[in-house]
Amino acid sequence: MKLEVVNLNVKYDAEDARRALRGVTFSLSDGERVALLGANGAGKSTLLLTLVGVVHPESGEVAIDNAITTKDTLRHLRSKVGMAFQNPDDQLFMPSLYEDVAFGPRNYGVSEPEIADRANAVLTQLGISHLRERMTHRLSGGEKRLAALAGILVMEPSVLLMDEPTSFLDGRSRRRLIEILRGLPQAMLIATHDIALASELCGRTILLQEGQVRADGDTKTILADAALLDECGL
Amino acid sequence: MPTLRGSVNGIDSLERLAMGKSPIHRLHPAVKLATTIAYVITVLSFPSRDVSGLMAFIFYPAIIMPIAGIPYRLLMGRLMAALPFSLMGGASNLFFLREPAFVLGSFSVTFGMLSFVSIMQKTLLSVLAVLILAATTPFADITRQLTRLGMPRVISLQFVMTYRYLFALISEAYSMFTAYTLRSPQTRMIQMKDMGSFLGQLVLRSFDRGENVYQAMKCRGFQGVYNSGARFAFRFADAAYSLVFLSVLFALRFFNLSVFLGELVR
Repeated sequence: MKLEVVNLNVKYDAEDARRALRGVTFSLSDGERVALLGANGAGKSTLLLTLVGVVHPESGEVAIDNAITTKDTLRHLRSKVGMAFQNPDDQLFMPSLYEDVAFGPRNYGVSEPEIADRANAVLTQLGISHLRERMTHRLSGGEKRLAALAGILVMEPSVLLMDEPTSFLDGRSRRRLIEILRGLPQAMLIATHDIALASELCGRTILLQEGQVRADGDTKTILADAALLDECGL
Repeated sequence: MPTLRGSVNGIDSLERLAMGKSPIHRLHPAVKLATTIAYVITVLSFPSRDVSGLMAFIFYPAIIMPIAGIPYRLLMGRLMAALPFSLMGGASNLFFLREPAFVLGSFSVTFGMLSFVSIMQKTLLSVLAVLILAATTPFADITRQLTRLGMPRVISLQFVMTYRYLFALISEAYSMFTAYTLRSPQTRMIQMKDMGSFLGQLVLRSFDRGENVYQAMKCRGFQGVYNSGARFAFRFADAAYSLVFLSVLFALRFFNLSVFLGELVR
């Protein structure tokens, strides 16, 4: 599956001349892992939210497999592109972990036996099947992060969008998450300040500065350019 | 503020109890909901001075709590919260209904006293029944059954979400309160002059959190209707429990067990 973003412009306030995103263009191939780097306010979260249709662009296009996403096809887009929010508490709203994992597939009309099969597989894959009936607000920070990821993976998306996946995590949980992400087949766009994560996990990096793509290329090359990183506030 | 957190932990401990595996926990949630409603209606249907008739209704908590493994202390603590309301409601009877109903030794028992005790009985039994339901049935299952009984889905969703986010909101408020007290060590509570901005911040944060949650829900295909999976099958045990429970309830409503036992002793 290929995700293409063409000349995306986002403006939060009609009165405000500034744009949150300006002419953002890039594509994401099947299974490709891309880091999205940028200082605070560079537009990373806005870009992710625009890709799943939560924020509506002023102009520009998002296409999956050459089919341009419109209001009518948003539902299809969201079944193919899963988004993990920065704060997992925003994502875990059902009382128990199983109920939360089942939330997405139920919205797409998946049958209960299939939901159970998928949920069991995902929870086992992430090593949290023992937390199945646990109340979501009782999970630790690392467990919440994996629980939020389970809620997305159960929908079997082709692309994962992740906003600061390693925030709130201690060293061990961070390590575990990186290992899990490394083993997933999905294409990923990971917005992060964690440069070590970017270099370890992603072969390609997109560098955002004030809503524009400042650089798009090999991660090692971009991270080796200290002047560029400094200019972009990293 | 720490007390508020303690109350939330109390709700939490009820929810943890509700995850139990006893025979009562395994009953169909609809059966537990229906029998609880039947029990409360029956208790409330007794005449206002029928103290002896209500006594036998203690059978429900006395039998169910040990089977379900519910610690008495936990529910009694929560039961106390309901006491002030029934005390206030019943106390006026003591002053207005002073005619003697009967004499016990040298002590004259008035209709007001009987009415007062009956109000207390009804309150305590009803609240206890609801607490037992909460301690044996997860909240999501209760709301799911309420939806099946005809409650609009949007309202059941509000219940589930409010219940879930109560914890997040209290946690947020508690963090703000801790940060506040660390910077004003001479005060134990939030001062009135700071209360406005404290509450204002809390509202803004709640709004922000609500917005984020809604976005996360939309990303997982939410379209305004909460789809709950029906995971319970009606078993023989459910039918048997309902039959026995409703038969006992019916019998106790129209047959005064206390008076019968009193006659036997005499």
